[in-house]
Amino acid sequence: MKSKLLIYIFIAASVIATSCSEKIDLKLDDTYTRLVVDANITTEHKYQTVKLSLTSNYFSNSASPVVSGADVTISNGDTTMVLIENPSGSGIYQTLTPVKLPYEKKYTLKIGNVTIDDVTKEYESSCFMRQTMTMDSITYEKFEPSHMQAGQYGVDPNATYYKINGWGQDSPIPGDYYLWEYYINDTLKTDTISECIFTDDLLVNGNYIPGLTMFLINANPGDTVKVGTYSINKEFYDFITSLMLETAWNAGPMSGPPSNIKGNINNGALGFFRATDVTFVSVGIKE
Amino acid sequence: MKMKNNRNGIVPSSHLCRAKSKHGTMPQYLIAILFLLFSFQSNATENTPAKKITISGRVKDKKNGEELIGASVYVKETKSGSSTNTYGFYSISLEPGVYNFVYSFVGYTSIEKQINLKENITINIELEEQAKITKEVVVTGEKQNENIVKTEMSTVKLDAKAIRQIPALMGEVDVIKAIQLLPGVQSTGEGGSGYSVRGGSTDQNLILLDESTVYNASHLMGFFSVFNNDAVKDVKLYKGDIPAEYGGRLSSLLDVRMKEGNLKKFSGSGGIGTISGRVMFEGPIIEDKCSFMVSGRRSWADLFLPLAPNKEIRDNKLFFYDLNAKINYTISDKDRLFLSGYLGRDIFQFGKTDPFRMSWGNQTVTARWNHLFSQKLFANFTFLFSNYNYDLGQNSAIQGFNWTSNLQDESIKADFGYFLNTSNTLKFGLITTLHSFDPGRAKGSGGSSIFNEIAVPGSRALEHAVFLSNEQKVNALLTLNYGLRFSAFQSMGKSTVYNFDGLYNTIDSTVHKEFEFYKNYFGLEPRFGFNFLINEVSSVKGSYSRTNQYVHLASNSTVGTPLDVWLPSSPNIKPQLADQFSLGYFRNLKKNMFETSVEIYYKKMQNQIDFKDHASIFLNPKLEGEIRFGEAYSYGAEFLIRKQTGKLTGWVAYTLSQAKRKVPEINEGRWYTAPYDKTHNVSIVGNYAITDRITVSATWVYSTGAPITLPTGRFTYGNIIAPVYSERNSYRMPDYHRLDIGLTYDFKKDEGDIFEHSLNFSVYNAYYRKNAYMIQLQPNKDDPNITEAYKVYLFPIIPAITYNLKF
Repeated sequence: MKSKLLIYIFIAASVIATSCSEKIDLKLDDTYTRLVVDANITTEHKYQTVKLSLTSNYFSNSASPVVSGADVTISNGDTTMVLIENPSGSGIYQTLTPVKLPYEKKYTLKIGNVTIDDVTKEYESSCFMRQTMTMDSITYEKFEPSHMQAGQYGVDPNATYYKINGWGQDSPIPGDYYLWEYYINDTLKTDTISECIFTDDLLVNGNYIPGLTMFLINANPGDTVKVGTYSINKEFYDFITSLMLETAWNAGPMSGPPSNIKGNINNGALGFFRATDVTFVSVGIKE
Repeated sequence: MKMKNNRNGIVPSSHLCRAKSKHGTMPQYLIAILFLLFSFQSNATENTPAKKITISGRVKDKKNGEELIGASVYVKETKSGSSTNTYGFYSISLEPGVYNFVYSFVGYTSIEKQINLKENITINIELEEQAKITKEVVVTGEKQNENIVKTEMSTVKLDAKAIRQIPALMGEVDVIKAIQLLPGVQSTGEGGSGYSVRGGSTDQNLILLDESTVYNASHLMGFFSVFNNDAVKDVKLYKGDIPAEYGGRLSSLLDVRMKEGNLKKFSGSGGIGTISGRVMFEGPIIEDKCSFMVSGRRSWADLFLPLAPNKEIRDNKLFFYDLNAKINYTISDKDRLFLSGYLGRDIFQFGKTDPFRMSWGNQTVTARWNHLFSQKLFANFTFLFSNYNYDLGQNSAIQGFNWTSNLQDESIKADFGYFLNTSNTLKFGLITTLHSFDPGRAKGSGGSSIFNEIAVPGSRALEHAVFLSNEQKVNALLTLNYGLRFSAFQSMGKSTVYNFDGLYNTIDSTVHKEFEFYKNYFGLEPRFGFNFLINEVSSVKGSYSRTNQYVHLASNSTVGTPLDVWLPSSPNIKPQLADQFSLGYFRNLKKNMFETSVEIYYKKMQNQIDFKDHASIFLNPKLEGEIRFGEAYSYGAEFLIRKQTGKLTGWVAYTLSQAKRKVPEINEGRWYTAPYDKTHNVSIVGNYAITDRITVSATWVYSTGAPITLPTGRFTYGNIIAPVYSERNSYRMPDYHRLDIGLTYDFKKDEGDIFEHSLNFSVYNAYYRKNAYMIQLQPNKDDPNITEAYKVYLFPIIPAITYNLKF
């Protein structure tokens, strides 16, 4: 709910802010290079992946440089997995085979042999993988986007749009944080973090959620829509909130002052190591 | 307050002894200071054995009976005098004899009266406004060299007429926009009503309307202020050197007084402008005894959302209204009653089905009994009420919610002015305020809501103050103004207080019962000032003040939003403190035609509030855990040249300043530039009366760009490119400058015409400077790896026209 509130305020601010703008030339100083970690391990049976890259100067205007040849391992106390860079030179490190990981365990990521500016360092991070909640079901409802939504999201007049509503029981223990993504026909549609929905449960704690609208999707009859419920922790919730506040939700003078996004990796590395459990519910669109 | 007097000085009366045991912690040196004050006084009376006669009375405007604030009463024979207080009252004590009194107020014809003082006498005077040409003056209404002679420094006075001359945004004449043109005052953002005085933050400004606190002086996100100029009589800004009578904010006091109401005849005025329409009526209920004043204003919503590209936005509601009312009743020569109130609201709604709505506003009420105990002892007994609240929400069966926030103050105040003798004027009194805070409460609306209620714990507090000050003319050259304010703040239940560990994690919470006092803070706030007269046209002034602030604004944005929340001091939040020193040289040129001054100041502030990075402010019951405390300092030099008489009037102000802050955890604990630090700030305001019916005015402002935090690096996470920052506020926005021009045309008024009409044309941002409001960094649409910088600017050139009517 708080996220929704922030969105409203952002919209109000953008009404004023998007009135007139002009491109300018801006000179910014350079900064020192840091390691960036984008790691996301789940309870799905898949190649568990860690991406390593480096920071660049703000106006470098090219893709982030990747980190090759690092030693990457993930362990949970019982097993340790070594991740191999695949394909070589891509900065993407994967388990040798698809693996299914158990939840309710603490996972530790170790990265070694990373050389930046002639200094070789090691990095470490931990994340507790909590069991997620299972939704009862999702249902769908056809709807017509309003003019405002059309203007904002670039709506196609020939496409059909649906509301996806979720039903489930929230656990009464406070402090659960969740993130939802959706797939259409097994293709992930929320591939940008800003499209996911995430929340803390402060407002709904312990209640039964009856058909809350989660997503507005573009789909066709015959498609199967799948929604994944991911358990996340407070650190990741704060990370994502900070990330959004610094990018998509930046409301200019109405936002707080900008500052760096804190992750959960040591030694000055940026990014986040996320370990989550996920459950899925599906619905088939009939008309 | 009577004190016993004997040859050795003041003997403490039993009052003082009782006071000590009641407060318990009243320090010994406070008693010593009080001793000193009164022994000065007794020495003064010892040296003047002859019996003094007191002459007192009120100075009023002949046409409508309004009291003139700060009118001068000058005694030619003694080459000294006094000026009227906020109620137009003056009191002078002299030895018996014949004297020539000159009563004057700039813009009015002076009156000279020869009086043979044999016994105490009351003389009330009515002054007549002068002809048109000299009416267009930027006036303080005082004797020509009053700025040289008074101890007051770091203050500026404006009256409603002066404010009306200044060309305004969209034609809306505005008190706060006018004070932003004064030296030492920085506006916080284009079009905003927030302001920073001498490097202080926006919550450090006390804004009073007839002595009631106004918590949010903005309409429509700050583009307009809540003060309807038609209802305003007088505005005084104290930038430092705040009198002991006032306190509770560190950086400034804006004292706005409403008109009393025309005691002689029914009159009114009104106008229609590009943005709003307004009307004001005033008149006698009982002629010369009782009068009223009522005024209202409302904006036209559709004209404010101008070039919105999106049609849907035009269906939304966005408007404000406000209402001011006052009744003034003179019971007798000794007693007067006043009742005044203000009510205003902003309403914002958007969306058609399940609309989202937001509204906020202030209400204030002041009820005062003004009593003359004698010709020398003037007293006010006042009840004050102030409420600021906002609510927002959305109606919808399942997802509907409602969020409200409320802040209320109720105070009683007694203040006295004792005109002891020609050399000493005492002021003393006390005030107690009950604050009730309900910072935020949100719950689902609608029957089948899935939302629980979240509430930030509410609380109450009592804030007290007792003050005593004296303005003493030591000799012909030196005047001193010294005082002491003793303030206290008591946190009172019932409320829930969260307890945090050293890392700001919540440990547990404590629940306090109703009326339980669980935390007390005290403050001793000395105030001191001097004026050393070098000659008739120049003086040196200095002042020192210590102020305490017990309520704080939780605002995490550069421009204030209406959702900012006021928080009281508590076990987790200490009061803010400031020490300010200032020194100035004041000189009038060309027979007092030009007033010039240069003032330097240094301000040191402690327990300054800031928020941790990416703080969660909205509806957070553990908000106190998001706050970090640090220190700040600011210093600067303010230059002012002002011309108040003649066809051309106006001022040139230049401020050179710096402000810095240091808060642990922010900017890694290093000093950083404060958000309102603008190195150079220039304001030029000019009015020229071409003929007696046409006046042109122009304002030019220039300031260094506001500090801004920009990234120096970037990284990729998922599909998002995110920024990496180094130092906070280490960059600057482009410099800001703007020219506004205006023209007022008064239609000819013939004999027998009831109405006076005039038209006002104004152009805001006349040379269409695209001043950056914010800088946006966005990925290029075609290649997201390329980031481009855009400046967003708010106001293009905006012409406006207002039609005004008066009768």
